[in-house]
Amino acid sequence: MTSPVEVATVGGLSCLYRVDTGALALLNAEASQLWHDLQQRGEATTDDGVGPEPDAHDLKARWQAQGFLGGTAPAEPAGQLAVHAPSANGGADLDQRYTLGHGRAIRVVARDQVLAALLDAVLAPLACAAAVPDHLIEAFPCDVDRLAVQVDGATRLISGRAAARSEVLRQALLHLVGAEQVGAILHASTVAGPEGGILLLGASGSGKSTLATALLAQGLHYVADDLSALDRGGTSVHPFPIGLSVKSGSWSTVARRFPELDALPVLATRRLRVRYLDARSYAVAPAQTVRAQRLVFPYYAPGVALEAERLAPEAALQLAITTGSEPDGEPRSIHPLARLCDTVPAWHLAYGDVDQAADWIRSASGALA
Amino acid sequence: MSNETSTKAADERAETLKSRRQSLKDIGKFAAVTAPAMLVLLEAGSASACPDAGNKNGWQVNGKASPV
Repeated sequence: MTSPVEVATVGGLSCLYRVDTGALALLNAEASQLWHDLQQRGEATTDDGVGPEPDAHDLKARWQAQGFLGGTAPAEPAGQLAVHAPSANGGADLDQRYTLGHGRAIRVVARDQVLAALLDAVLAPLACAAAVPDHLIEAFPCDVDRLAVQVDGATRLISGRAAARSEVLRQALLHLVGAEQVGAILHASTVAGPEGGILLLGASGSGKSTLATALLAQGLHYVADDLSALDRGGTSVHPFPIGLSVKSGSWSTVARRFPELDALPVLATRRLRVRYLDARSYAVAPAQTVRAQRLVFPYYAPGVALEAERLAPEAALQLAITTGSEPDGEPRSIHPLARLCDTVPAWHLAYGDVDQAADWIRSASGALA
Repeated sequence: MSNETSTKAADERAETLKSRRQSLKDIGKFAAVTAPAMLVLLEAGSASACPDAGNKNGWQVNGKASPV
């Protein structure tokens, strides 16, 4: 039987990943040695494998709790429930087909007016009425607070429309690219310069999309916004040129370069107002994966002077995880994300001025003309 | 957005940036610690359904808030 625990190396540290539960941890050199000793001795269920140090006993207990010493999965994956979707025929607020233009197609059905409007706007660049869908993704209200997102019979319950929108997009990306081609879904916008892809990773509001539009206006190419699918090798990103999500705080900045933004409809959730910019004319060819050249973790704060800091691979992994990037695809594995962080130079970029930040990224990536 | 709200949001972002910078320094210290140490990035079963969720654990090494 294959072990459910994977070990990868990131920045010289061991990274443990339990594929069935998603538990993920970094070990320093001493802990890594201890973990390997325990594995070799095959004493996962006794206390004999560790020395008298309190730290070692504490660690062993934590590894057992997280399932890092093998055995039965300690927790069920969250949110998987049997929920029956309403009939797929009729009454939907959105019923549209989408494709990336190279083979696969999906049909997205949404039965919630606000969610349907969000999905309609963000997925518009991929719409293709003639496509024959391989998969059906449905989203519908489940109870007062939650929506169900159902794909080929598997259901996940999601709190809030913004989160449901993200889950539908994640499923759309997985099924359009092919889950077997995906090694991780990065919370990242990606643009491509002559030397390769620049991945802008970060939480909502960090400035990913705004920086991406600034870089497009300076001649780079559009690959993906908000969600970027890393390939199984951990080296390249699959294009997913959905509408660029421009939040209200960035409208004036982005409209300077893309005046058409002001005429686009405003979509609103409880927390956000957003416009989706169709950037298809800037996109790379749909079937062309883009090799990752730089990881940039932008952080926008008003009035902050530009400050770029090179990140160690383990810091890049930590920051990627804490801002919403995760192993994904089928089968799940930590190796693609670990390889990306271990081999591609990463930077943290604090900034208060979009133009300055875009100039720095182009300069650091060799993209200046 | 009122000036007061705007100032508060800017202060919060500056504070978050400060804490992130500290976290990035701390991970370097974590790698250098000579006692066995583990940094949990995701708990079992906590995989997020949406990219806004991310890791809810905060910064903990060996179950303690302080990394070193």
